Amino acid sequence: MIDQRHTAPLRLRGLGMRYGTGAWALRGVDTTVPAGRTLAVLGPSGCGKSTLLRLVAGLETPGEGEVLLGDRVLSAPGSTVSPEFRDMGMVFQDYALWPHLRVRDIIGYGLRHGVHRTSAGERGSRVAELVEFLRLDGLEDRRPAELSGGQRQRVAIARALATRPRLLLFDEPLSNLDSQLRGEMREELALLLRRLGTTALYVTHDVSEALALADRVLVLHEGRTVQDASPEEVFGRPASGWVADLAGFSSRIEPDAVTVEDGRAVATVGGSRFVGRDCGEDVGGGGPAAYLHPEAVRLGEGPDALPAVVVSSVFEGRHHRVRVRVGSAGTVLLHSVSPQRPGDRVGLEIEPDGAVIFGGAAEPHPLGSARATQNQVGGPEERHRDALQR
Amino acid sequence: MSHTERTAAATLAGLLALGLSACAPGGQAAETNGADLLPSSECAVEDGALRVYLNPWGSTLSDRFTADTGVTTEIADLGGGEILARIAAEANNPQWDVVVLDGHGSLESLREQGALLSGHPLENLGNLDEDGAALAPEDGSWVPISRHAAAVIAYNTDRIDPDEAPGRWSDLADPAYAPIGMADPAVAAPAYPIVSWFFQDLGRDEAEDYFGTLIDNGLNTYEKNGPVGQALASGEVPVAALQEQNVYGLIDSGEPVDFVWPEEGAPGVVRAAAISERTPRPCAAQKLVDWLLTPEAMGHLMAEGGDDGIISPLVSGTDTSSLPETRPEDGELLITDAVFAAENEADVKNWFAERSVQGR
Amino acid sequence: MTPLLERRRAKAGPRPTRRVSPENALGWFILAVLFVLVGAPLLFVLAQGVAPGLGLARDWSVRPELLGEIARRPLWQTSLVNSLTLATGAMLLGGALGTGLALLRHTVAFPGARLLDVAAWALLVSPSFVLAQGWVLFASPSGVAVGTLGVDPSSLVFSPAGLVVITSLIKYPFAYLATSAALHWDDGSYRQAAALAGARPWTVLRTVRIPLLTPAVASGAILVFVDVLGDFGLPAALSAAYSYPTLPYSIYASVRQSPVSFELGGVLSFYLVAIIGAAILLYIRILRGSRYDFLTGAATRVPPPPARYPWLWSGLTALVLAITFGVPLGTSLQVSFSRTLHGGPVPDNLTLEHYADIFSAGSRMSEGIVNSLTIALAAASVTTVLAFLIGVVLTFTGFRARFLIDVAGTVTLAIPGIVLAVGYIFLWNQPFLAGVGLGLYGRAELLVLAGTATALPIAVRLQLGALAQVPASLLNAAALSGARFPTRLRTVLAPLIAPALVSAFAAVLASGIFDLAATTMLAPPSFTTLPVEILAEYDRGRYGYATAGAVVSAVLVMVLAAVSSVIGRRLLGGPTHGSGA
Repeated sequence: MIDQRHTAPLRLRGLGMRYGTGAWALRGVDTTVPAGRTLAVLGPSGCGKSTLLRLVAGLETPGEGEVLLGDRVLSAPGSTVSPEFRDMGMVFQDYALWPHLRVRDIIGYGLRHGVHRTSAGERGSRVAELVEFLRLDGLEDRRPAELSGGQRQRVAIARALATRPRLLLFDEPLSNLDSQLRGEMREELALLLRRLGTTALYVTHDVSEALALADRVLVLHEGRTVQDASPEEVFGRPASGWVADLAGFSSRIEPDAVTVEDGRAVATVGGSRFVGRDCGEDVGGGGPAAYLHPEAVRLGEGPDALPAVVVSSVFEGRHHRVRVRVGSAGTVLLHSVSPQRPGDRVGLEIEPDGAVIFGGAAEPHPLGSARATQNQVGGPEERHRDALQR
Repeated sequence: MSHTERTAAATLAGLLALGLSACAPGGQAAETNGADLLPSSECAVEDGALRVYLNPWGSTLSDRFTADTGVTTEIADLGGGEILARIAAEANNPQWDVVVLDGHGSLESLREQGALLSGHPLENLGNLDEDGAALAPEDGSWVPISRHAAAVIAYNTDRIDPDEAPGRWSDLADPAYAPIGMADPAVAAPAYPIVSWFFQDLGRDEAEDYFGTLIDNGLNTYEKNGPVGQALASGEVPVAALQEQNVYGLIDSGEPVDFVWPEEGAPGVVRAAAISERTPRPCAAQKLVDWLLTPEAMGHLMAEGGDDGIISPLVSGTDTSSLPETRPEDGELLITDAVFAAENEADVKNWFAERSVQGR
Repeated sequence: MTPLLERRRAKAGPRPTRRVSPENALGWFILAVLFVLVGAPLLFVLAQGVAPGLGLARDWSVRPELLGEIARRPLWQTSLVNSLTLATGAMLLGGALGTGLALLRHTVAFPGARLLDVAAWALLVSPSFVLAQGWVLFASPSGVAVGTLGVDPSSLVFSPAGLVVITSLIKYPFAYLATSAALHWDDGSYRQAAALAGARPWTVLRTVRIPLLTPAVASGAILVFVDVLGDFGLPAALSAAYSYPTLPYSIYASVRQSPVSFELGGVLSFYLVAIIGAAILLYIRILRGSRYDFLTGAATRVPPPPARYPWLWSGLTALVLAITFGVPLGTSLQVSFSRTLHGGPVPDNLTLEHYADIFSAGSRMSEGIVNSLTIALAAASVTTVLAFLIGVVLTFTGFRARFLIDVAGTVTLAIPGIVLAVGYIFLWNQPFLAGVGLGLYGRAELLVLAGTATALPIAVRLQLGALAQVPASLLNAAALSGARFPTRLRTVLAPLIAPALVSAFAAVLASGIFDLAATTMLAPPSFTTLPVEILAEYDRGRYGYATAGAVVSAVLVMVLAAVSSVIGRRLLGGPTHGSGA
């Protein structure tokens, strides 16, 4: 019914751009999104992901590299196909619903004006189709101001779908929703993207969104690709400490030594050892390091427990958020059912799947093509510029 | 799209205008040799309306002229200053055929610049009376048609007893009458003939002394004669050098105003008509000038012209019965020599303007 | 239905990429239009100052030494000093008045506060000639104040200080509106944070609000300076009562008095434009230096708290309205019903004859009103559209020469209409233009162009504020839906800023109908216009008839403006909750 057959693969070749003559906001991005798949572009604000999206949408002209949809070159330095001729639909962060129009006119806009114009009858049936598909029945005559956040979101999606685009773009579409609604919409979107089968580019700073929605995740840091892999791989084998942190492995400690045994990394800290996933060298540089997920660290008295001292303990409702110091290696965050007293000595037990360890040099690890990018240039200025671009 | 193209064309035209004007100034309209023209009763009226820039009479003139001769007109009824400004701005490409204006000095300037048609055979030139014939330049480039007083001595009867009213121009230098009201000669066209007469009559130095004294005593200048009259009527100034038509108007409407036409005479303005050197309609233009020189036309303009009709015609045989009774029949008019007026205009006005500024 | 979509897609096909985007094309188009409307005529006039006769006469010469002429002419020096005195004084006093009123308006709530906004806009679009004329009729030694109130304020008013006060009362809206625009977004939390840190209201004002507002206040004051410097209506009205030569008036005098000397007008224009240009550059620098970053965050409109002494502020508002409007317009109204100016409001002196004259069949005044209204309607339509497009280029495109457009748009604010009008004759009376069908001189169309050029800056400024509030994503969304650039402007942007478009239209209509300088110089033969008629009657001393004409046309303008707002809002289908411009 919601027929999106005209989709095509999206290819970015060495894409880069800078504002004026300043530093590069984005540089050397290479990736391919196979037809019908979803690529999530993940990174904090200022990493260049909005710039990437604007380049794909044709709202900016690249300084270098190309954007291709199917076989068609859409963007190259100095020449760009205007957004209206790109056959793309986009869901904006602020939804960008025209306040002066009613829902049916917003959804039908692209079929009424410009490149995709159709007859009134055709437009009517397409709008009706989308209204039903996105459960907007009864809201057709409302204006955006009279809709709830979730409804606005669905209207924005309906509008993006109306012209049967070959590529769908999402610019942090859930960031304006409260946390509960965000969870619901995430589910809905995941379902929707699978049903549509349209190639999609989804920009977000939220890891769980990226992991839930995407077939593949491209992690951007300061305008560069740091990892381009499946969600499982990003979560399971982050390419750098920075990605690990982004993926939720938020405690960083510096072990005395890291070795690799049976494909597993073993970290030694002050005479104790713990096992984690071997992630090879950190593409961001730096010595051996272990990143621990708070859910994977428990207090315990076992023989392999890592000795630590409680620094702080804060009640957060379901659990206590406890920070402990592991000698000179650093501090670790964990969730505990009981409160802890600062200064108390405790032992830590760590689940192997909840620790990612870099710097295990014993076995050379074949790095995937995704980790090709080594150099990380760029500084705070870029971040600032990107923030200004929203 | 056509809109865009038209605008693009306009842009291009604008650029071209600058370019062209920089390299090849000068008109395209052919100059007419007046001597080659046929008199107005024999020539054929050209196509198109006759374009007249005129200061007095307006449609009273054009309507009657069209009715009498069948020649259609387009008139620009403007102030004297605007007419001269437009003529100057259009020097490149005149948009007028005939000009009718108060101030023969200005027309003399235009003659000297070669902007006026000369040597053309006007049939009714002989209708000019003696004074008129004496004023007219030899080449006939402009034709005087009437005169009136640019200023008489007017006073507010509430503030000044008729016995004590000034009777001569020299009396105005008496500080007792200050401040004196007057139209600003630097701005108001009708005021220049006043000043130019004194400069011609007294000589430059004495004239500067005279006006310098007036300014030092207190001389309130206004942009036009209308506000001078209002200031006089309200008593803001007790005495004014005011154009005669304004004086009669104030007296008519019952304002406390009376006037003296000094024995030595009142500085006069000459009203004159001229034809553009580059007119494409010399025949129709001559018809208008010849028509103005007929007593019938002049009588009509005097009778129907309102304030503009209060004049001493220079056309013999004109019926002057329409003149108001308050106007003296034998008042003498003092006319500045046209060449003197033209040559000294910039200097005199400039002196006056700067002396006024310093006087404050 | 799919096949149809498919076909369209095939037709649209892989288009060749385009180097000139529609946004840039629009930018160049605007630049070209501005060059024709403003740039070329102005350059033509300025050129006369160094090369007299250029483009006008067969013999012309280059004489740059003319620019030094000012050293030898006391009148010019006086004009320059007078202009600078007036403009600087009004900048300080009018700036302070406008800023103070804006602070009052946005600091506390009191009955009638909105009237301050209305008054500012009304003053901004009222022709300064009519207002100044009202003041002159009120204060002149033979004026209404003497006749009605029995006091003679003429020596107070007709002095440099008095003129500064009157000018400030007429021009303060520039400062008021600039400050209001900044205050509109004044985030209450900044103030609250300061208050919680222990700062008293006065300290908050001094340490938080004023620094945040400084750029707006400064730019508002500079706008006052620039507008006073370039104003011709005020000195024109004033000259009837008091000799106070200013630069625009001396320019006017040099080009329209015998002997006409465009070169002197060109020299004076050069100095005027140089001073104004410097002021405008400063203005743009100030605006640039403060990007109003604090606007982009969570700053929202905070309704001001109720005033402690509302009657006090309401009274002050009433007083401001009474002085800025009541005196000049009340005077005009009274004069229009009086036989003589100095007769006072006694039964004997009251009459309806002036109005009867106007409405009598075929009066030149009524003919002038009709002509001027037609011109003003046409100019208002063209100006509103053009200003909208300029606003779009300035706000939503990365067009490289935006700066030029911004400067051109602002400089026009200050070019005396008389200079522009003379430039129009120079430009549009070039003989070859007639050959290509563009001989507009001597046609009413030229008045429309001149009116557009004059009104453009205000129309742009009226729309910029509204445009700045429209998120770019609303346009991007339309682009991605397949709407082309013109469609996006028509279907998204225009309806969203409909209220601003309508108020720009009404403002241009109101100011355009009294456009004195342009109509004096450019009106075609046999084409009577309202301001020329009013001025002519005024010069004849028929004040009652002249002001009656002004009153009738002002009423007509108000009616038309009201009708056009209603129709405009309908046609454009703006948002139900229109945000005021």
